[in-house]
Amino acid sequence: MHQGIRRSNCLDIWTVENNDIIKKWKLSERIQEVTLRRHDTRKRYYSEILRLLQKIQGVPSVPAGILLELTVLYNTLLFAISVSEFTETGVLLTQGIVRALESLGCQAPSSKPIVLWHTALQTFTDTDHLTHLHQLLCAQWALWLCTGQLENFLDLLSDAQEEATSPSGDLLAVIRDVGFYIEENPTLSVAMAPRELKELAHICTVTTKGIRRMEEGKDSEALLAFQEAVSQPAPRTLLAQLHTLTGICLAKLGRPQSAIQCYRKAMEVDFSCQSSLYQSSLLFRQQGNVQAEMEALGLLHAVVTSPVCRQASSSQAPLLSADSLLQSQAFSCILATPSPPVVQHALAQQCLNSERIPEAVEHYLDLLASLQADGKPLMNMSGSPALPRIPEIYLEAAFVMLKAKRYCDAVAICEEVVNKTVDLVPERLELGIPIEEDQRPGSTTMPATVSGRNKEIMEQRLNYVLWAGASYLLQGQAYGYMKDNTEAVTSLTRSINLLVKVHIKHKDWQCRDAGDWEAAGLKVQTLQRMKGLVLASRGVSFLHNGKQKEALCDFQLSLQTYPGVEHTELWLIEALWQLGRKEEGMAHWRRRTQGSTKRPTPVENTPRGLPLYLQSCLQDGISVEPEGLKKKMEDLIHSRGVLT
Amino acid sequence: MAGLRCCVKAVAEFGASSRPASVIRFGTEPEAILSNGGSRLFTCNRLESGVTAVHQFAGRVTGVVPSADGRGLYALCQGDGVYFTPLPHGPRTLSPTAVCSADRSTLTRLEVSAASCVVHDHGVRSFTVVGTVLVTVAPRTASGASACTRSPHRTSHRPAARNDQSSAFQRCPWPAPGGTSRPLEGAAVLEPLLFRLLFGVDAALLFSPMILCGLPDGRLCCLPLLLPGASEVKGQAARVRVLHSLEQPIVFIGASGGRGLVAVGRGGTVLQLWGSGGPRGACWGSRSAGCGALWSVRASATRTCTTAPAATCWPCRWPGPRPPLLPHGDPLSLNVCRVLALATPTLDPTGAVQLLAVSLTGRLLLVTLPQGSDGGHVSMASAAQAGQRIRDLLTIIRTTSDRASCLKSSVRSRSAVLKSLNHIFNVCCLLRTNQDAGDAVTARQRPIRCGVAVRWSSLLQRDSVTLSCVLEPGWTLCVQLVTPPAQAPPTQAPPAQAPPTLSYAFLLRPLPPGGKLAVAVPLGRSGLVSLLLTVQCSLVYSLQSMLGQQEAGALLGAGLLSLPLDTLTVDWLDCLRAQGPGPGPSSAPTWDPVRTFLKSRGAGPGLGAGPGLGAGPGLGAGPYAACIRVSSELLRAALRAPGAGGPALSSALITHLLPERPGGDTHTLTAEEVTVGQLCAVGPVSAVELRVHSASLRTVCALHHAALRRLQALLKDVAMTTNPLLQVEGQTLQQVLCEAQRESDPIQVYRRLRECPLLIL
Repeated sequence: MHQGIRRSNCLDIWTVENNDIIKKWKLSERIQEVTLRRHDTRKRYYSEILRLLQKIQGVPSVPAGILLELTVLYNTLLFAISVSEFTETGVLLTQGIVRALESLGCQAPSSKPIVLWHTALQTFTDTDHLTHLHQLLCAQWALWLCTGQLENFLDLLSDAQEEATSPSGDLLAVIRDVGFYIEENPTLSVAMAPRELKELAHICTVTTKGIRRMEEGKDSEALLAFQEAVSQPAPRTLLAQLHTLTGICLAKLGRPQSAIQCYRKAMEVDFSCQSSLYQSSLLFRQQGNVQAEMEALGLLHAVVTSPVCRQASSSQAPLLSADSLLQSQAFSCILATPSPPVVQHALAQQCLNSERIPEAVEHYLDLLASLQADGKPLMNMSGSPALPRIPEIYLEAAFVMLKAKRYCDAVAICEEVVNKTVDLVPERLELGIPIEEDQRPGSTTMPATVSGRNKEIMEQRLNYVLWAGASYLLQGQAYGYMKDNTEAVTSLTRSINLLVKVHIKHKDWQCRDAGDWEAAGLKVQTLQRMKGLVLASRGVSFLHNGKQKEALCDFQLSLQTYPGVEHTELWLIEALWQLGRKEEGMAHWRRRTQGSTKRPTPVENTPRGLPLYLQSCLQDGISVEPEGLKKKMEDLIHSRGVLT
Repeated sequence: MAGLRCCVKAVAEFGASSRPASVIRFGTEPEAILSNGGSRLFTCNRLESGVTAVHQFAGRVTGVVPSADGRGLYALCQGDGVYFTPLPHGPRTLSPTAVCSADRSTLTRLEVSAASCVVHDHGVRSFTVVGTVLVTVAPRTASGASACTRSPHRTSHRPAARNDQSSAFQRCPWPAPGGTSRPLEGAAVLEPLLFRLLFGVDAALLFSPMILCGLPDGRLCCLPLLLPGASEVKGQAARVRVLHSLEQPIVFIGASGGRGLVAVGRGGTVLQLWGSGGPRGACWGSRSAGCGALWSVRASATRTCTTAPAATCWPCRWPGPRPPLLPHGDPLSLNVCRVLALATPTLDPTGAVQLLAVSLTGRLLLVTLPQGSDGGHVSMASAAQAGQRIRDLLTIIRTTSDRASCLKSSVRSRSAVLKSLNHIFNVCCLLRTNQDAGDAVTARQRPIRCGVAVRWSSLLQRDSVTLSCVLEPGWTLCVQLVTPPAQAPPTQAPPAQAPPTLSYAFLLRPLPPGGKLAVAVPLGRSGLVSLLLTVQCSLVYSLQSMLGQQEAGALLGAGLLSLPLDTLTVDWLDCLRAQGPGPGPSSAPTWDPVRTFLKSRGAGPGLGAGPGLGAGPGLGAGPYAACIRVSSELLRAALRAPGAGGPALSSALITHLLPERPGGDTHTLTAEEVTVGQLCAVGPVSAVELRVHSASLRTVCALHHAALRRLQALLKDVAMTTNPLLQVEGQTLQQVLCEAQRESDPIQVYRRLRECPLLIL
């Protein structure tokens, strides 16, 4: 009796202690705002409540104390899961059930969780015990969700409620019919209401299933799962994510309009749902709706960079959230949004593509600044789309500057790239064709390591050549626009000197038609295209300097390197005209006009996949006026015709 | 083994410990922080004053990093986490006297509480601080470790990458100078080429700091701090890259003077990485060398100091121009025993290398190395770099030469302009001396003179009068002919306006000194010429010739510079003189120019005068005559012929009027001395009578008028100085002359003179 009183006193003290811890934690959670601190706080309270649990478990388990012990265990488990101590959670859980069984005088049959649970669920029959046991079961469910062992739960349930299970073993059906005794005990505080946890675990289970179906490529099944999940009560953030997932499935199933509806719903539910914005921008891009895509990207950028939105999403989070339960790689992959630089780069490129140059300039400048800014280290690691290499971003920025007529800025940006790359360029670089084919195998296999490393070095050096060459090309063009033709010739000559260091080793290879290009690989194609552009640009500068012969030579070389560029052909004819070789010019003109009628689309000026900064028409601003030249030629042809 | 004799001074004492110790010194500040591997950190404000503060931590301190601003330090407690503690502010703010007065009793003891824990993670094995970012390395799972970054005071906690096993050491090289960021205390700075070779162009473009991490298994990893994640940049290798493997726990990573990266393993293997350019492209090389088991390594720009269990310190020099070879020759022993840890070598004010060391017995030692010579640094450039450099230089030369030739031509044109401006200025000065000298210098002495002569010419049976202007040196001559208002037709212009002028401009060739230039100005056909002309000669210089049309127009308006030269008067007497038979060539005696002239005036003897003219009283139809009488005395004074009298004076007068012909034209002009008695009360006055004869009345009038005008000019000055009594008469004459000038018809003047013959006194 005396013992009993003391014990009951102890139980009272522990109850108070448990309630105190929970109360203090809730208070501090309300004060704390920063996620990092919150994590530390939870760790601290986890260790406190763990100490309490250890105290309780220090005495042999008796039926009187088992309810308190189970509640404290439940709280401890929640804290443990929230700080990602999964292994420890599992151990604690097993210990707790064993002790509960011991309190009734049963011997635990095994240490396997499923067996234990079977025994426990069969052993306890009164409502009080079942209520607490079901609380723990919710925690177990959450743990299995976190560790990706949902099948265990399925097995457990199907065994426990065999009569209710449909023969197909459909997980959804099982879960739908799960009945829990989860009444709250007003005298014992819990960190999170069991009902709340159950709902969360349920919706997360459905979501996980949908994601698995998606991974397996069964989009329509996934769609069903997500649609069911959406109908459940869920936290705002998760609901928005579910809408987004539904939208992704719909988009994959070829229903873009419905998908957009879903994304819109997601935005309505949670204003800062980045994934829906990003997905809608992707969808708009597929549909070719540039305007809408840019709007979506702009909103996304605003959301990603605005600190208010991030803060709002992180405040007032429960101890366990959907994020912590849905820890599968696939979930974060599917809903991943790119980091702000990637968004801004996409936005800038779209502005450039749709000729909104001033905006593009702003975006590129912002992007460069944000990439260089201190204090923003280690960006998102998830599988979001990639940024191009940093030098290429610089070159794109320079190209945009050129288009915006900010020539000095373009020169300065290029100078930066030149300074960093030009001394890394080797004297001679021999390339086999195709270079990219050899690269695919042997990324990890042992024999290929050496050759793989060599390929990597090769590729890197080719990159240096291309970057430095492109920088000089853009510089030369900038000088050309500034009418400083001497400087332009200098820069372009430097570019040519760099580009000719690359030797292509292939005896049969010739760039005659598109098929050859495909075979050669993008890098070589880029190289040749750049050579052609540089030569033609230098020709133009020579022509402006009054050196027609050199200009003619350059134009001819350019067309030899990269045939079929219309502007270069026109310049060639112009050079011939200025040299007084009108007959030849006329011959070229005739061949050209005949060729163009025969082949309505000559080799494209800007083939797909080429870097953005090479898509310039040859010095647009000062190019030959095709109309004027045409008139000259036609006059000449006419006069000759009359004469003969 | 070669040895050095060092000066060793024990500066402080604290608890002895055999555990790995460390000592940190802030540059050349007198402050030092010691850790002896226990749970306490010792701070020495000044090396002389010993330990001044003790920080007590909860656990064993295994790593200490000063904060970026030097105000505090981060300490890693084993199995606990990273703590931040501010340093006592004393040393930098207190005056020296206050510091001196502080004795051992003022030793501050500071308990570092759990509240100052920055990172609570018992798995943290090592950490470093880059600006506001704290990077920790901790084993995450059984098979991996992850580096976490977080700012000391905020931001999130995010796994960054996975590595195998826990790490031992890490440092962050900062991009070489030129970056926008400030260098970090304790950060290794690499030269740009090596940085780019090791860590890539992307990191260099973003000036991203790199975190280098040596793992216990000997792998040397690098991690960019600013670069977007590996999955975010196409073609970029994994975020954390393994640079090299040392195959033994890495105890030190540092830079050797920027030219190389050095990693030292616990087993004594020293790995060096350096960059070099070459014909096959820039690449980085590595070499390792063993030098025995080591406890502590510190590097400075010129030497590396290591501590071995054998209790000696080796400064290893690498002075060579080639990639710095670490153990260059034999290591030198410092002959200092039982040393556990070293601080980064510093230079004291005298230039000697100083080392702070912790001894096994728990003493802080200040070791001063003897001054030695370190080899110079010779930079090597590859052939490609040299070629590029030469090309750059050639480009610069071409640009410079273009610019130079442009400047040269500009200078040349400027000097030409200056030359001509100088010429103009000289001419201006000459003309000014002309004007200053005024009448004092006779016309013949002026450097630039202008004279006129009137010639008759006959072309196609038409006679015309030509005015010849003779100019000695000058440029463009501008001749203006001004017709006096009296002779202008009244209908053409009202008298108030400027007299009608005619301008002629002549381009001048360069004239040699003493040279002459004659230009001819047509006066018009005979019969239409009205004489008594004012000829204004001026020199005009057009600035357009030196500046070009547009510039001159913009700058100077018309761009003309006009310098008045001479103003001359031409009258009938000049005509006579010009065509008189005396000095003229004897080839034209048959043709009497005077006769022609008179004929041209429409008053030749053959034609006779008009009936109106001839009807005057006392006038015969024959040759007409008019006379002017001038007082001899006055004339003598005017002509400056004091002693002359009689015929001498008369001939002097004729000579004055017609200077070219001393004999005078007897047919036209005669002068003789007469005595006039009845004129005034003084008595008879001797006078000279000038007579004008001609068959034409109009000629007589014109000549008489011209003679009078000249006499007036001659007598103007003299009249003022002569007898006041006689002045009255002179004034009368002047009045008459004035009236005569106003009178439009010379006949009237003539008549008046005839009616009361005047004597000019």
